[in-house]
Amino acid sequence: MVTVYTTNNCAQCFTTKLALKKRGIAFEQIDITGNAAMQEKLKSRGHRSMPVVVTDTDEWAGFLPHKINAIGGDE
Amino acid sequence: MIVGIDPGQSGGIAYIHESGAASFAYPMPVAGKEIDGHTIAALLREWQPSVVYVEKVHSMPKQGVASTFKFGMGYGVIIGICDALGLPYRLVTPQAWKRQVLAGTTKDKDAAISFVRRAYPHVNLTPGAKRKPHDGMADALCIAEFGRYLMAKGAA
Repeated sequence: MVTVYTTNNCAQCFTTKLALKKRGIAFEQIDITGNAAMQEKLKSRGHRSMPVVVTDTDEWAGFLPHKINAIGGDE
Repeated sequence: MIVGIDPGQSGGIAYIHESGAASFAYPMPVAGKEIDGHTIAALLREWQPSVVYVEKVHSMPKQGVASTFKFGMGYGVIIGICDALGLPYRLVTPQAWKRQVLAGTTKDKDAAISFVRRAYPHVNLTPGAKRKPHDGMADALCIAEFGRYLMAKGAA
């Protein structure tokens, strides 16, 4: 399962979702705009940008096409 | 998909579908105090727009040399990204897009914000915790709208 934590007005979030859809990868989106507790939780995990993408075997922040391309092999 | 870019750190990047059905606008990605070329390149590579419309900018009288150089560098980064990715782009003057998109208005930043609010009401111009609308995002969307007009007219 792929989970994408997003905020509004975030180009990288939009593009990550677009890339996942284009590659036919199912994902769950969680919008954390205004959710300070969740934002702090992600920060405590070392993430400093959005979106945060969590897969079964990896997690990262930002729009990283090479990571998205690798999901097919990971999942 | 048509992309409009208002260059500059406080600028914006927007895209609209040729039909006008989908439209988004974002603040210019920055890394520190510079335009984040890596992110812009990654976004444009994924979006694969049919045309990128970039506002044509130039140095202004009485502007400092350091800020002029920095602004020009950011502009060059955007043009370089389009070149490197093989994306067709057009440079449009502010006068040209404002004449068309903001016709009958004061053609200032508020007019661009008002246009976006009317024409693209679902686009949120207040990113993050900001209260003031982001005029760079509004300008970028207006530039993309101008591109859509040119393409519909067969002039692009």
